[in-house]
Amino acid sequence: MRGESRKAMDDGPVDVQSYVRAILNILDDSAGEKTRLGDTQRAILNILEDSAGEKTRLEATQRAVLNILDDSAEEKTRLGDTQRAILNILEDSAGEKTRLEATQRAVLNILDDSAEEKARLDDTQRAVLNILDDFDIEKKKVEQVNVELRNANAVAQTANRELEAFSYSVSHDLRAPLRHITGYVELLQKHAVTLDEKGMRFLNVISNAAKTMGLLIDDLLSFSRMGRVEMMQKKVNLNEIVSDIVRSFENETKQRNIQWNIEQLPIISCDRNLLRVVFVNLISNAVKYTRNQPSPVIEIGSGKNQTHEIEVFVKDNGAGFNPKYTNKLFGVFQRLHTDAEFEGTGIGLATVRRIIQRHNGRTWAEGEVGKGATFYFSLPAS
Amino acid sequence: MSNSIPRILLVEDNPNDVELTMAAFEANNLANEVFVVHDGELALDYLYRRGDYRLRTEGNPALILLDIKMPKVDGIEVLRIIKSDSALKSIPVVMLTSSREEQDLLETYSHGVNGYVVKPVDFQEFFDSVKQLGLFWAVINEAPPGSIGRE
Repeated sequence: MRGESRKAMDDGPVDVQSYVRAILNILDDSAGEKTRLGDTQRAILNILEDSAGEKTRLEATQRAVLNILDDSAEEKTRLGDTQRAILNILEDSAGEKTRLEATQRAVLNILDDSAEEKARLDDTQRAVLNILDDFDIEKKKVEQVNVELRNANAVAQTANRELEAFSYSVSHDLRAPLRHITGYVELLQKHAVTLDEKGMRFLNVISNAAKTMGLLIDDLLSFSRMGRVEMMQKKVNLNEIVSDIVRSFENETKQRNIQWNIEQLPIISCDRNLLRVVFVNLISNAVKYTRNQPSPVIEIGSGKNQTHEIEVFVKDNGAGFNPKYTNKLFGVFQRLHTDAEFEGTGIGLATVRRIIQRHNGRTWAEGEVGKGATFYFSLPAS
Repeated sequence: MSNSIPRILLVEDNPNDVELTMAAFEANNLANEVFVVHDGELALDYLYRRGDYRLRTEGNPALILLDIKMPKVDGIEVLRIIKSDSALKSIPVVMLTSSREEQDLLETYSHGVNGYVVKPVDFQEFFDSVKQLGLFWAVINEAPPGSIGRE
């Protein structure tokens, strides 16, 4: 359009109307232009407004940044303080370190000392361990001995039970036939009108043998019972026991002319039956072992020793014994003579020892072959 | 002598002991008073009137002499049964035995035995023991009611 209106003006004479119209057109156009310019201007203004807002935001941001910077400056100040504090602490800790090093050296010295001490302790410990080892060995030995003792004890208990069963059986069964022998001999003697004196003597021998065996069985049983039977301690006059026993030997010894020297014996506290067994054994031994002595002498006496025990002895001038076997005399079933020389079971002196031991006394003997024997026992003075 | 009913029951398995015991009773005119059985089972049969003895006259013996060691039922068992039976327990029972073992003494007394006599090996002593037993229990002692009476 703009081009058309310029052409109209350049081309010569134009009527005013056209001119005006052209001008109006131009004006119209410039009005449009102006409107466009207004639009642009508005746009620019808008932009300008926008950039003003932007600026404001930037400024706010800047302020914020400045604030932050301010804050960080403060922070920096504080950090400086902290750093100084840390430095102070570091300085302090350096002092501390020095002190620690000193302490450490002191500790090391102490540790050195204690190492020496430890070495000494180790030595001591080794010594103690050695001692403990020795103890251990010793302890093992003791344990071993204990085991052996327990085994021995079990064996002994078994043996003891067997012995009890044995003596029970003896008590029940062995006496009966003996009683029958003595019984029937007695009945026979009453019926035997045709027997001469010799025949009657034989019957007596049978009867006596049976009785003696009965006594032996009783002795054996009493020996086995020694360990179990309760003792009845009473005041006992030993002279009564002895004279009783001597009298019971009269029949057996009346042709032998034994000289009995019996002293006054004390009254002591003991088990009468058991002490009787003691004297029966000692006196029967004296009677037996003087059998080949033409003038037998048997002495029974007593005294007190230094420890105020009562010592009793039974002395004979019979066969005697070899002193080197003294320790065998009191053993169970130990004999120093053959049965052909002197009969016996070897239980008598063992019984004596057992009884005296139960009374807390002792037994011993002196003798010489061919010169007799003396048997002693002691009892605590009551 | 009348035909009196035996008042003593002798329980003894060994014939020799029976003969010797009876010899002692005979010497004291007590043989008629004795009835012999040879083991514990027969003793109980006699007391309870059963078996061979179911027809015997009623009444308890005035004394039982009891051996310990016997076949079948032994003396201690017989004693135990007698002493735990109200009809029999008043009968005097005396053990007459070879044993003087403490365990036998303890056991029989714990069952309530009235006496315990060990048979001596010496016959004279044995003789005297039997004589005294017979005289005391069958003649001197008043037997408990229900016993066989003396003629």
